[in-house]
Amino acid sequence: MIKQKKSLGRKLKAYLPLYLMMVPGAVYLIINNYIPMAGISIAFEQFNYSKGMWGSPFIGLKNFEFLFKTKDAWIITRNTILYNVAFIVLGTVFAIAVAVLLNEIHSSRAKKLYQTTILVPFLISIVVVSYLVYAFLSSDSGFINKTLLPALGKEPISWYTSAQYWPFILILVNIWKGLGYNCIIYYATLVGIDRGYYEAAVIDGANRWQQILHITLPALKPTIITLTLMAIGKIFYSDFGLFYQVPMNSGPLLDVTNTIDTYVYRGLMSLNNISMASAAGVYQSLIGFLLVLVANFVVKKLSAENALF
Amino acid sequence: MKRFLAAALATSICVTAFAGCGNNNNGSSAASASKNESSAVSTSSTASAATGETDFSTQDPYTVKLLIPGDAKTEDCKEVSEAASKILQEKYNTTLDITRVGFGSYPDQVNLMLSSGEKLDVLYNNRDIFVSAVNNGQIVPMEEYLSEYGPDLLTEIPEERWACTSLNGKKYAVPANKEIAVSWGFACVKEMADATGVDYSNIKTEDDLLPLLEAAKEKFPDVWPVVASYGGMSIMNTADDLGADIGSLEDCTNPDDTTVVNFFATDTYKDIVERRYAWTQKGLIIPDASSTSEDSSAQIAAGKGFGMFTNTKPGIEGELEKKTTKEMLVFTLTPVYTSTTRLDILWYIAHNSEKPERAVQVLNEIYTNPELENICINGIEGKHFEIKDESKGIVGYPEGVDGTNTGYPSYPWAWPNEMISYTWEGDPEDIWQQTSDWNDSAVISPAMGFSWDNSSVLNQVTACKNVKSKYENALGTGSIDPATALPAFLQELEDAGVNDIIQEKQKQLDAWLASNS
Repeated sequence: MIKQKKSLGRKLKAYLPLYLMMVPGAVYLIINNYIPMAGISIAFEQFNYSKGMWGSPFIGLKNFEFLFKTKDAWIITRNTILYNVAFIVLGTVFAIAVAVLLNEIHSSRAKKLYQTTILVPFLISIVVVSYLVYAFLSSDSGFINKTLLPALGKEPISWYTSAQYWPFILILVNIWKGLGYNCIIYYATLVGIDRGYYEAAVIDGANRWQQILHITLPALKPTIITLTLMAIGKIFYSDFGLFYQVPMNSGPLLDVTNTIDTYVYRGLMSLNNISMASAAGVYQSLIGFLLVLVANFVVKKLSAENALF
Repeated sequence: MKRFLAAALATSICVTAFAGCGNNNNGSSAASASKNESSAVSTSSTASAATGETDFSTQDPYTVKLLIPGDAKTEDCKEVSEAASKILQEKYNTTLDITRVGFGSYPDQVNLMLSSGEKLDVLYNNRDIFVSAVNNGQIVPMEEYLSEYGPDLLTEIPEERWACTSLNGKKYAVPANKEIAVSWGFACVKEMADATGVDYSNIKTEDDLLPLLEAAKEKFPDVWPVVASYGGMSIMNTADDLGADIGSLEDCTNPDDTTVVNFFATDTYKDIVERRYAWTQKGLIIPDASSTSEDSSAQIAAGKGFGMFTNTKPGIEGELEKKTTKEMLVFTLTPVYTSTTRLDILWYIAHNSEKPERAVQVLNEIYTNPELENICINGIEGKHFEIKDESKGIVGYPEGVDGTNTGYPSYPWAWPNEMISYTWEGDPEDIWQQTSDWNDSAVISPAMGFSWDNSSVLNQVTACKNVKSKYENALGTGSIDPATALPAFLQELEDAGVNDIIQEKQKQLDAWLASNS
């Protein structure tokens, strides 16, 4: 008994600095993420400001009805998930490709220049991005309609009322914007790979492509899995700016640009109904949580050491 | 990998931990400084005591916090609050704290203040929030305080107007006394209209505009004859939407028709959207009209547009001229009419007010005291405005000050009673008389005074709103073909439960009509 206690005490002592380092983060999580969870109760109430959170009448699942009232629930769920899947898959592929290319550049000046250049879009506000897109697509003065299509001898296209093009436009904009940031994370991992592997491979006669395939990519695997899992955790959230600002809030595009966030914003902005907004939030969190569990389960089956928990 | 995860987590914590601290609202203590300024030497209170009213000057001291939109500077608001407090202090032992928030962030700021429990007593807001704010308890009824603390409000505001701001038999808001009737029309640049040589003296309907627009297109090929405002275009109509949401009396100038219909399913609406689609095909309406993110006046000011659809009222030419910097010509295309919805600026008492009765008292004084109303609207004399003509009561900006650099912009219509304030330079001298005549000339909707309560069909209302946001602007600006889009719109509305809303509205309206006939 005594011996055990002692070892526990020693263990504590050994890890004390680590626990101390954890405290600010844990406190932050509790204050910012756990305490507000009490607010979930609002989703099941007919919230009344005068009566407050604990005094408002309980109405069960009635607040959730509006989400499933029309086929919109299906459309927005589909849009949110499919766009995020596309962002995750294509975003990862492009980020890794660019990171590998960056890694192959030897001139450090050129490397810095490219790195900065591809990071710039990430730093631009989405509102500015929406006007950059507008500068291309506008019927009145857009580059594509005024310069590109006439040069090819094609009719101008009314982009902001033609829904069929927007899945591609949005994915393109998202990748262009997020590429720099994602690629830095992969690049940081690449830099950390032991040069010895490459030297050994060269001695064994491996060419560049074989080096990438058999050393670089396997070394990146843990990072890919972690980042993908984290992205899957957010698969039910959408970048509001991307889906609201970039299509200029154009009505005819809604079938392909409406996501849960924009739907809730449009429906509830003027209604001012905090309970229904919370209900949508709860729905979003719940499905998001389930998806993380499923994704982690799948990873565990495939490669146990890389699973999150 | 775990190390990498820890590093990523630590970074994100550092970034977000500080994000929550930035939001504090200064200015709430602005007026308290003036509390000690004036003592109870009061002549007006003795005067009112003589007429048999209660003397309020010995009440406990209290600060009423008032919220109104406008991009004012905090120091200027403080100064105006102090000037206004002087008057209120003497009479009511009350100080006033005026806080102004820009129009863009106003709705969010109001929500934040109402839900955080921060001090707030009186607030401006438009009609949109009325029913929901009542139902979710953001505002409190003023009924019980009116007879004692707001007697002038009770007598000055006609019963028909009170009816529009009451729900379940209780008065909830003071309607701003301003133009409360509307007619819709088309405004265009006069110089260009004259240059086309088209005789425009006989334009009475939207259809009549066509020759003028075509001539403008031909004469000024670089200018779009019709531009949209923030993706929308006013619909020339005389419908009464009965307070809010879908479901209207199609033509409220007809006193015998009290059937609630879906306005989007009417022939009136169909004609309008078909005409506008045809106009877009002819190049008369700016392309991508439904995704413009600019004000139409700004586009006209920039020389990009010739005309726009607009609401009209006395002094509308002057108002548009200020915004477009061009002399404007306005055609009125519908009769002047009024309905519950047209009382669009309301003054509410916040649920977090500690002493709602004192808030009512201040509203009462602002509504009836020209001196106080003037300070509130126009600010400090010599700094924010200058009297140009004392006898006619005309004011303007002092030297070196204009709309772009004033610390306290003047929006008379936003305050409870602009009609007792000064006239602004450039407006007709008798603008308040004209406004009053305009209100009197309006055809009154048979449902005037009816306020609809949407609480039993909220799910349907939300679903329909989402459908509307998909089609309404695109159809209204002629951006999509109504031949396919209109039936799809109506079908989706039906799926979203529009009929439930209309049925419920009709039921409430019939009950109201029965009790009011």
